Amino acid sequence: MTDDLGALTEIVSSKTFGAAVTVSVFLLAQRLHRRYPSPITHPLLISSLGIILLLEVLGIEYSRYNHGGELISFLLGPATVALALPLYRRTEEVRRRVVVILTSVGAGAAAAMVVAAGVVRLLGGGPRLVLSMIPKSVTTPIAVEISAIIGGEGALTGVFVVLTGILGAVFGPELLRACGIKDEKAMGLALGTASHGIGTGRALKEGETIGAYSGLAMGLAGVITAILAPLAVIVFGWF
Amino acid sequence: MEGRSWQVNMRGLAIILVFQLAGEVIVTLTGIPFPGRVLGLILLWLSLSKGWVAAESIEAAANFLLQNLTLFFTPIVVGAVVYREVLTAHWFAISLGLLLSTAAGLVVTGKIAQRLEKVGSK
Repeated sequence: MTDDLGALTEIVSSKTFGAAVTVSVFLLAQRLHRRYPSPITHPLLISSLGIILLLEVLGIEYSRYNHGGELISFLLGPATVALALPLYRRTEEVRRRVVVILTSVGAGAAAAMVVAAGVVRLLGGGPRLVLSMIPKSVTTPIAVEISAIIGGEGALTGVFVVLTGILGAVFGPELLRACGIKDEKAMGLALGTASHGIGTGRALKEGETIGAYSGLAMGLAGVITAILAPLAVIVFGWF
Repeated sequence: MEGRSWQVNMRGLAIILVFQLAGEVIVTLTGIPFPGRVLGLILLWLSLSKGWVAAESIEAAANFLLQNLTLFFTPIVVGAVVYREVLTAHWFAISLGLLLSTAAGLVVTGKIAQRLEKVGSK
């Protein structure tokens, strides 16, 4: 009996187990999302909850699962670098409107950072929580790395990033219109800056121009936030 | 044809990984508080713009990586279970922070972009 348990522990601690579970559950979540398309059924949210539930039921610790999980999340690194390609394709667009784009995306990214950190701090969040909130508006792989650099927790930031994206996708275009922002380029820049890839998904449904500008802003906001976040931490003494 | 596209894929992956490595090496050596991967992104963007790297050579690999970004991120979000106590203890602060900051990011970016866009087109 003890031997059986030992063998089982070995299996669930193997790289294969974590990798197989991650890819399989994600595939199921993706199918669910295709059948019921909505930001709330976002595959990342559903697959994460599914895996958490599975680990809970089987009594497997996260660190064991993550032996294999790490193999999958390693690819976030090269995926971040690959964002250079869509940015390169829009280099011309950036050059033509460099002032508009850099000013608005930079100000929006800074506003999101300050408000996120400020609200959580005022309501009694500890430093680790506050630091994990700071980079949560930008695309997932960049946010997680910024979080690690400034002293936050990548996993917490990850959850905040997903929720932020869902919020932006659910009410972003409506909020913008309600505030009198109807210019398609401005709407796209706003969605990409405040709610990264998930917001860009919604932006693409709103229109081609909105989608293209959202994608552009998402990449730029990531780079700008990487520069601003450590500065914000120093300026506000959040360390 | 099959063999060729695979080759292009491998080459693209190699280029992307080398740029990531370059970014990480520079960050490690200089000690600047900047994500190595993002520096890799900037270096690759620069190299594409200068024509040092052809967009076609990394296209297949980049598309594979970008289309599956969400999958790669799943194990990290699962890691939130480790912090469930923090999350439940501060759920209100977190929810309000997320809601207000997303709204702030949207409105600030949108307002400024719309205003500057109008000024520019006059």
